[in-house]
Amino acid sequence: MKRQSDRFRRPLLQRGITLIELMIALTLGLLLSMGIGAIFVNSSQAQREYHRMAQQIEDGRYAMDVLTQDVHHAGYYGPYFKLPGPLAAPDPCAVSDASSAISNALPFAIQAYSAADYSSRPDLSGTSCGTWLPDANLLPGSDVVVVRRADTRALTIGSTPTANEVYLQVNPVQGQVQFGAETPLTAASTANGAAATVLKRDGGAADIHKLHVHVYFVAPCSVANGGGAVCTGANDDRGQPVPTLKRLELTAVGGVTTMNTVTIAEGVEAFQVDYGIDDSPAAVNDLTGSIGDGAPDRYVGAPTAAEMPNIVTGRLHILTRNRERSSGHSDTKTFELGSAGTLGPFNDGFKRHAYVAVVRIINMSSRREIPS
Amino acid sequence: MSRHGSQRGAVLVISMVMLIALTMFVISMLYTSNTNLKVVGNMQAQRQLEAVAQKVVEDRISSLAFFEDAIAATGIWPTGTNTIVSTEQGFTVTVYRPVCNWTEPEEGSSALNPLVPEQTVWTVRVVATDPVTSGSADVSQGVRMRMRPDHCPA
Repeated sequence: MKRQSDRFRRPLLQRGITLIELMIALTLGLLLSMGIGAIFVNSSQAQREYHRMAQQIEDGRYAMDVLTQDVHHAGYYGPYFKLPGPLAAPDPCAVSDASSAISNALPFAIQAYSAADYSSRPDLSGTSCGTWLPDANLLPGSDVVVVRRADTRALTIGSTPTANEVYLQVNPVQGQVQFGAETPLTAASTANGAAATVLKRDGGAADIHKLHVHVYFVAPCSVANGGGAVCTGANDDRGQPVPTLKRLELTAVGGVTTMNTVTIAEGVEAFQVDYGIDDSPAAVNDLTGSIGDGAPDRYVGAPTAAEMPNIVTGRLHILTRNRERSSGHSDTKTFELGSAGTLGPFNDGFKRHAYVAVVRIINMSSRREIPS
Repeated sequence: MSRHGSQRGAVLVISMVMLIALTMFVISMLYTSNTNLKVVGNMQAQRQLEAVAQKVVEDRISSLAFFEDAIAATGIWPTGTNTIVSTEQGFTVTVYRPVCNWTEPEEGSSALNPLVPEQTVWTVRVVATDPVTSGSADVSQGVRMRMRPDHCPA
């Protein structure tokens, strides 16, 4: 009881506060909460910005990793090295070997379609790529690069090739393009179940590798409005189109050989390649059976069809940007993408990074190394 | 007094909430950079492995004895030895016995000559393994060599 009466009495002892006191308290409180609010907004913005940056760097790193690995292996056809003499520039999107369209393309480990400047598209006329690469799917200013190689793993005996997938049966001096049939491989068969004519030294069927034909390009969007493979315009990627590095892959979809569009990395805005051409000495060397010495003699941005089989290195340039705009940022930098010249300033809210890597196309260049 | 007390609590609670929110931001940023660091570290380790494997391949194919020993089954390649394991820059490197895949008489030589040189095609395979990350790089290199006849063991 005594405690309760104490409690009753104590509030009565508390004095009220004056209006001045209240106002000072309010002002101080407001100032403090404004400060705290500003810190909160700042750090949340910084965190979002950091996230965008990390995403962009990861996009660039991944794109570069995929490109360098693939270009590094260009011209790998298992043990097959006696490639046919190069003819005219082949059709990179050939899906049948009619008139040897795929077989005769093998010497073109790297095939280039170069954009003349940053506002024009590479010229793909004369190829059958238009179905998958109409103008709407090509961002102006980026190169189209074709990489041809075999998979590094050979199929094992007993495994089943995929129907109409393109395979290469190879020994050192012969290479045969084959379309898969769903028959398990035997020690004497081709990928389509026939009797092999490309043999190993011991008379058994030679190894069968999957043939990769990759056509790299930069598309103006990642996911097209409606989900198709071809970009449609401003409504792609939920109204904010993100330029994206993609590639066409020669593969079989539902038993039909076709080129399939595969997304590699978002945020890649420009892709430019300079090619290291090795054509000196110009005389065919007796020991290597080809011209050159394995080292690039010069770099060109737009090689001719005659120069393409002599490409031994590639200098890859990519420019990536954030997927979203950063508020209050204006991009005033210019970017150097090799022989194509500088790009920018863009003067928009996107932050950008340029990447460059030099890749030795080991299969094409070491075949030309003259033994000392 | 009771009003005073609850006000003090509110300041504490609000500042705690703010602190927790800010800490969350920092933790998220740390997490992102840590993940990126791991990704880049992995890539670096992978590239280093590939470079070491490639270096060992180049070292080995520069020496004729490497092939001569495999042909004659002596020296570093006695019968039964199919791999040589060594340590290179902290990585475990396994060199496989070179395999002769192909042989054909040298173009332009007369088949009537009893000693027609042959063009032989070999595969040299090297696997480098990182004992720390257990990543590995497997490099196979083809080598074409002009050899005396019967110098391509089956």
